[in-house]
Amino acid sequence: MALRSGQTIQNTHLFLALLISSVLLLAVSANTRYLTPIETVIRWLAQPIVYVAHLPANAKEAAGSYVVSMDELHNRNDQLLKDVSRLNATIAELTQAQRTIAELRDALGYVQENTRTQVLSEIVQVNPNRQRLEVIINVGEQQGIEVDRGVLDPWGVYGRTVEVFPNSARVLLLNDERHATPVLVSRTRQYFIASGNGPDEPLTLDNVNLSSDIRVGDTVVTSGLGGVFPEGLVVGIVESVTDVVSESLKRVTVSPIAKVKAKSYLHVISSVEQR
Amino acid sequence: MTDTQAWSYFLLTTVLALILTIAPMPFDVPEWLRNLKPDWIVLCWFFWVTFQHERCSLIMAFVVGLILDVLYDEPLGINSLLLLALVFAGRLSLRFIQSSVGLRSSITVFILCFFVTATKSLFLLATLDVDIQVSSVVMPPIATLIWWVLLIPILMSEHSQFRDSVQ
Repeated sequence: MALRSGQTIQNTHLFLALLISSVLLLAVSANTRYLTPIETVIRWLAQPIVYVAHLPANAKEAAGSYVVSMDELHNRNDQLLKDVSRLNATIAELTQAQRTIAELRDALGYVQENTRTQVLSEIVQVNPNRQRLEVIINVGEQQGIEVDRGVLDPWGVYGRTVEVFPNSARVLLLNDERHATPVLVSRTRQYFIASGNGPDEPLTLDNVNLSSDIRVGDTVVTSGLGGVFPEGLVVGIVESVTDVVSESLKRVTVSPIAKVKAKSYLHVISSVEQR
Repeated sequence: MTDTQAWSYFLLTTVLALILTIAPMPFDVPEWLRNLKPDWIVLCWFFWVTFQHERCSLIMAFVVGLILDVLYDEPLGINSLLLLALVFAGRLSLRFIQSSVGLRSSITVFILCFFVTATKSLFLLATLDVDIQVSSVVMPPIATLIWWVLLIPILMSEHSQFRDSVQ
């Protein structure tokens, strides 16, 4: 079909209508959440594409977990037995410590104590947009997940939920530039905000005075402020401390303890109860 | 190639482009290699605009753009807008390409891909306040261009309506 001279678009009206529709959609979706139901429907319709796109990665993972040599299995088994033994000893120590803390709190008349429930989840999709460090997990509203819930991996703080669907949720990783975590340095109990700086970059602590006592190797944990994470979850280890005299501040970088590039099971803090 | 076959190939390549677009790279792939991922949608749709332009209807561009918005987790409308612009600009460029298909189509695909990548990056910069690396804007058009070179011989095949479309 040849295009007539001077008429490169067959239906100019349709083109303009769709162009205006796109701009309107963009304006509404960028500023409000009215279009979330439409997004959910399209997301549901596009599920087969997402499924097929993740097949190679899932197949590789499945093959990696099924095809292992007997020697490797023996080695893993030995290692797991050692780990179980070590962890049992740690649990015994922690249980004892917990009892002591409870007794001390009792003696001091301290009654408020936070307990949290966690929901186990799995990463089902990684956001292909590299400007957004986000993953989709396979638990959502129906499993009791809400927006702004802390997410942990087996090593430490991983991120927070930013959008929740019926059976899935979007998690913003802690090293995303939009993520900020209220933290404290466990050695000195000083409060800071740890901000993400993008992929492969360490976190930075904001507004650290020159007089602040922070050393390389200090453990940074959540402060419990902000309501997303309870206090005491490990965020990372201080990697470097540099004085920026011109700004009267210290530049402190923190290496996250969570393995944000590893596909692992995640725990979502579904609720923090006070008793 | 019958009309049904052409439609089947078009839909199949579009779905394949969507799959390749969102297929995750292994976590340990270095950043520079991630940037070398071509823009499969631009590649696919520009090819069809030049190969058999009637396949790339405006409504289809709008719908595919919406799917891409959701898959990419971007505000609804941005990819529809860019895909409509791509179809529009692609059709306008047919006359420009005619005299020297290999060179001029390569230049066009590079410019269009750069336009799409840069526009998206600017939008993200404005709405998300994130840092945009130059390599993430420049490398995808280069990667797309490399893949485009492989498609040029198909443009000249007997099934192509490219020559007819610009007469």
